[in-house]
Amino acid sequence: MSEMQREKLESAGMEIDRTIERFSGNEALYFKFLKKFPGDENMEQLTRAVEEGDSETALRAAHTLKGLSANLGMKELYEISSRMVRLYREQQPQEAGSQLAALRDAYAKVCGAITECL
Amino acid sequence: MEKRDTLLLVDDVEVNRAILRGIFEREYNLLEAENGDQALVLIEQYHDRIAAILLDLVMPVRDGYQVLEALGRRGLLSELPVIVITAEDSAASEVRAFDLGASDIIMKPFEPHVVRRRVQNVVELNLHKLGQQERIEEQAAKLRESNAVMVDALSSIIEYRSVETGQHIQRIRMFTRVLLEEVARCCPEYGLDVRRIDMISSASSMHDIGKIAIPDAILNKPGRLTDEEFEIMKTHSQRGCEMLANLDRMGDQEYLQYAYNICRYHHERWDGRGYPDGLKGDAIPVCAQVVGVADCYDALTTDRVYRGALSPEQAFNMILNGECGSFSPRLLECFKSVQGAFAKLSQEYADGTRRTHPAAMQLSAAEPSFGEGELDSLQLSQMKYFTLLRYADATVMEADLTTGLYHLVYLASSDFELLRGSGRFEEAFRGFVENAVHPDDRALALQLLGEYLDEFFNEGLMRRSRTYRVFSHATQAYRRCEATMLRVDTGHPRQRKVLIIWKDADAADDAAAPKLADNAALGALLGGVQVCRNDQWFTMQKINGSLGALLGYSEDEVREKFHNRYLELIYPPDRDDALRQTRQQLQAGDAVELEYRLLTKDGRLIWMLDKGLRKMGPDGSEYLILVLMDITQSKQAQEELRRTIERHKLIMEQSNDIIFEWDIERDEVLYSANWEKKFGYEPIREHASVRIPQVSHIHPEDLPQFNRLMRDMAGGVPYEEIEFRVADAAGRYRWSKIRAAAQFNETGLPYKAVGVIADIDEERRATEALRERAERDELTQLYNKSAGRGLIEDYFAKRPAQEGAALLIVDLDNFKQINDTYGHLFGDVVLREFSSELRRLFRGEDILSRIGGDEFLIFMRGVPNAEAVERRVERVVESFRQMFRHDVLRGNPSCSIGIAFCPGDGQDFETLFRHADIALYGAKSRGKNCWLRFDAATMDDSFGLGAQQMVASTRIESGEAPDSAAQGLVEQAFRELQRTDDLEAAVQAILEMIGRRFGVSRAYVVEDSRDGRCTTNTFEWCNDGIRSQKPMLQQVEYETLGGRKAYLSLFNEEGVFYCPDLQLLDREEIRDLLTRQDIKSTLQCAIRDESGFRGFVGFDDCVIRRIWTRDQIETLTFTARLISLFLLKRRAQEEAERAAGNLRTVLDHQNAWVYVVDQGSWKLRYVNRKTRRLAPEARAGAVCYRALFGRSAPCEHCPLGGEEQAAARGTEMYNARLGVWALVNAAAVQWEGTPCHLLTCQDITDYKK
Repeated sequence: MSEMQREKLESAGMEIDRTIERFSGNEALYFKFLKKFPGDENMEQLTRAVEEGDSETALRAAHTLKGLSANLGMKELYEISSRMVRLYREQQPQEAGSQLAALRDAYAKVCGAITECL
Repeated sequence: MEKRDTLLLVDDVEVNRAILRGIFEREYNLLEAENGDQALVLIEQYHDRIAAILLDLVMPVRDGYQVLEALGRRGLLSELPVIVITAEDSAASEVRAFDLGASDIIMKPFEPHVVRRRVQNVVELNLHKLGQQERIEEQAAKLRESNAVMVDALSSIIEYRSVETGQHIQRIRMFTRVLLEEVARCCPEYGLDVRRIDMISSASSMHDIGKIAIPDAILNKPGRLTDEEFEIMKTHSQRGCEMLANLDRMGDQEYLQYAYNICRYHHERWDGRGYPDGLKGDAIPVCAQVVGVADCYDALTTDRVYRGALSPEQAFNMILNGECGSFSPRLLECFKSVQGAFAKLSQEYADGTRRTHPAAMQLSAAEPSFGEGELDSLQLSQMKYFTLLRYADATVMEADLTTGLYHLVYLASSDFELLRGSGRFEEAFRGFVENAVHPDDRALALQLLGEYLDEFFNEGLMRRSRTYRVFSHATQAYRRCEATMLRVDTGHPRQRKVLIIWKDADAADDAAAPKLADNAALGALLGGVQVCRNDQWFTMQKINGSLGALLGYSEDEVREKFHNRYLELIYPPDRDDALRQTRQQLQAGDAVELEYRLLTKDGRLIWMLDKGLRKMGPDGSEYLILVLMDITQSKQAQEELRRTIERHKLIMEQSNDIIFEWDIERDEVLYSANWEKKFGYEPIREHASVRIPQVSHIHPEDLPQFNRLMRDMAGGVPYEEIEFRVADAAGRYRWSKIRAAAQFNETGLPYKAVGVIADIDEERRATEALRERAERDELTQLYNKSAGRGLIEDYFAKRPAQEGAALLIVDLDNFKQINDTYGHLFGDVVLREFSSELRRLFRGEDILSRIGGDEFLIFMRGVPNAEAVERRVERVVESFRQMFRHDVLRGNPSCSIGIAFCPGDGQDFETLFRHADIALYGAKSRGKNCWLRFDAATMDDSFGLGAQQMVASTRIESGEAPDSAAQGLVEQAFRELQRTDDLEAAVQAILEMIGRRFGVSRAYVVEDSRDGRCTTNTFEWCNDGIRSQKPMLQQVEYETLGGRKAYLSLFNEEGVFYCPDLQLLDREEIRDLLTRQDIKSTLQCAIRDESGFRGFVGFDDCVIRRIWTRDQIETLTFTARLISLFLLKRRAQEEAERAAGNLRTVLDHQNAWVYVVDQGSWKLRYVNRKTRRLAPEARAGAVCYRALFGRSAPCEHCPLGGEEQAAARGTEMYNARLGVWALVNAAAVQWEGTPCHLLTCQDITDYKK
């Protein structure tokens, strides 16, 4: 990983070293899954579900995103999606839905960094 | 037991599994599943290899909780620890997971080292637990053992009282065990399992504890007991069990019960003649029966005071023949089987040999009995056997000539009583013959024991009969009896078991010698009829003539070479088979049918069909009458067929295909052998139609059609095929194809379905790949036109009514230009990049296709509302703009998009496409680089012929009310300019109007200096919040901007300089200048007159990188030109005025009187200042001679009237009025279009003086 790549990823709020550790030090594997991340459907699913008011699907998608972002070291994404999950759990779909914009921003930031440097 | 070395990873997200894989793959074997169902399948198959399961909670199909529940129900949780790995961090979910039996919970994101350690801990703990259980089992076993030892010791103490030594107890225990195991194997109805056998064997030790109550005198009496004494002795059974009954404190009631029964009943006998209670048959508990036999055997095979120990065979025979009392026949059968084991035990545990380990209970009946084929339904067979014997009403004895064991199984009459001797078979038989057989026949009868036997066995005979006379007590006469020895063929070469049957022969004497056919006619049949003895060589008396001829041998040759043995004529490889089959068939009946090959003299092989019949010959032996037929021809055909079938079979086995046969009525399925090889698990065989659909091995989507297949087959459809997915051992679905054909019975109903299950997974995947390729556009990998259309039409066929959809047509602007300018390779790159972008920007379920060189069609299904689509479209447009911003491209790559919505703008492909196309056209007309939505109200097919547009087509930040007609704007501007006197104000007003209308930051006019070296901002309008730049832009030298020429080159042929993004401008100086003014984008329209570039009208945007549409640019340009027109005029005017002013100044400062006089009228047209000062009346319009000279008529020497020459010279004149002398020069001029004279009068007064 070049300096530039590292900088770019870190500036988008991603924890690099710990995450690579989690992949048992396999940087190539880490990159492979990073590259796959923007293509992940859950963001779309979540957006659609929020728009349509489908709390159940939204909860599932948010939960999956939470897990994914946690494993891939995307801190901001993790926090927001955690919040969303919690809000859904607490039967507050409106508040949960309101987090969507922030989530999308964080998501875009991360995806942007990934596509830029990978 | 398999080693537990496998981990099962269950998670629907691949990343998570990948991470876990990375952590564990070095230490464990890994299995993976994507959902709960797959996990359960894998667990079923591999549960004894799995060390632990790592389970996610949130999964489709079946989630983690359900998996835990299922495992709990199946009792697997004690064996398989489950570690839940989840992002669920609520306390409730933790509790629930633990409640359901999880061993541990790990939260995501996890630390790999932590996970590894925790998993290891759980695995070790579990192994430990399982190991622990094993150890506990061992302890329990040891405990039982020591119990047994105690019991033994106690019992032995009792035995020490009697002369017999303590080994007796052990032997009894072991005999009991061995016999019990045999009984358990053959008579399942007694319910003897390992536990019971252990218990009974152990309890058997106590069978004679009652002896403690018997007085020594009786117990150890060296001789036979008197009847009285015997009675007392008999009480030991009762006494013993009384003692036991008092031990009810003993914990194990079952054990006690057994001990009691054994103690009490081990002297009971099958016929009821035992003691103490005289129980009969199976009323005697089996444990007591077995101990009874064991006790008898042991008693016989140990030394007694009154006799020595008998040999095992003798003991066996005595027991079998009822000399120790009668026992259950079944039991005796079992007893026979364990003869060897008993004999061995007797030896090993004989008195006097001390064994250090009394608990050598490992001697199980794994001792192979003499290779007798075990009959599973032994009981039934025996029942039948005895039934038959009853019917046959013959005396039957079984003898094993190898061991000398014999068993008189059935005694038809007491005449044969003597057969029941003691000791060995030979003695018994001899005894019988000596006493019961007619003296003359004795020798004959005794032949049985002599050469008869050898002959019998060595020659392979199966049956031999002899008739002799036996004394009948009933009639006191000798009766004829037929004694037949039959070989019991068990297939074991060394066994010599026979049955000897004595049957009354007086009745029918059907020993009629068979007519041994030697018919000439028959003989002529190919091969003819051949008679052979039924011995092991099929010895012939002589060979049949035609057979001999067929084979090419003469009688003599046959006799010499083959010793008249038919077997030796048979082709060697076929011999054993022929022999065996003959034997087999003869066991079942009298007829034989075989096929084998004969070897002719000249080495050819002939196939023979042999149909034979067995008959008794005159010498009491069996004979076979064979009818032989040459079937060589048909046999060869058969062979061929067989080989072909063989080949096919091989091929089938090689292939991956599985052949199945479904018996519809019984609902059972047979499979060819390779199912397990292929799938790794057992297929469902019974209750097929019910069970198969229930398991999850078939992909749920394919289950309906599978069910339909089964129904159809059962319902009479002759042939059907389906393709479906089945999970293999690893839980992966493989595509398979079933081709099934039904078979019908006589009534026309289907009773069977046979077919092939072929693995088409690879094929299918290959086909899929091919289809993909066929459907895809090669360059961009999007769908091609027809595939895309097909998909869309499919969608329409199935669309739910309320679902919205949108159809977009995207067209790349100026693509041809790009291709021409930069080449096709670059064009391709653009297309590919764009396609990738599209793929990234749209969802998986959207259909993206390329329908033309630079045209794309996108179909979005399931859109919630129009705005979502529009936003996405906006992103597409924007993203395309961004795409090549690092390259400065001429032609500004951009795209235009037309949108049509469903259902609003159409509900089928054609209509939507047409409308989207129209919208696209609209977008193009608007200057491209934008998107447009179809609006039925304003768009029709004649669009573009002047129809007004209404929909906003530019950027978001406008969001303003749609633009009104640009034309109106221009009109307005023109009117402004025309009307006004104050041009400046008008221009300013126009700039403002435009500026506001288009929302620009600044609108301004910049004009060059006369010499073009510098330029000045002359008019400016700033939008709210925008800083004015005008003061800074005065007299800006073109040199500072990189030169005038350079600047001018920015304007295109139409005089427009358009820079949407200043960052892309590569003119540094200009960029700097503009950037300093916060300009982000700018549009400048040149002001030109006949001399060229004179300046420009500009519109800046400081907020965004504005993209102007074609129309807007035209509007602005036009307005700019308008302004420039007026401005130029004004400037020209100003110029003229300035010039005139200069002139006047010159004239005014002349030291001469200068004036212009109209030729005809002598009217003054112009008077300079000096003149005016001199002659105040002189002004324009006044007559010169009057004004200047005060005359009323022109002067005589008027320089004007004369000829040209005179005027040119100069005339001296005196003006009396003014008192001046002047030298007047007159020139004819045109003054404002009319001929006049310009008079210049120099004051020469001074000179005249």
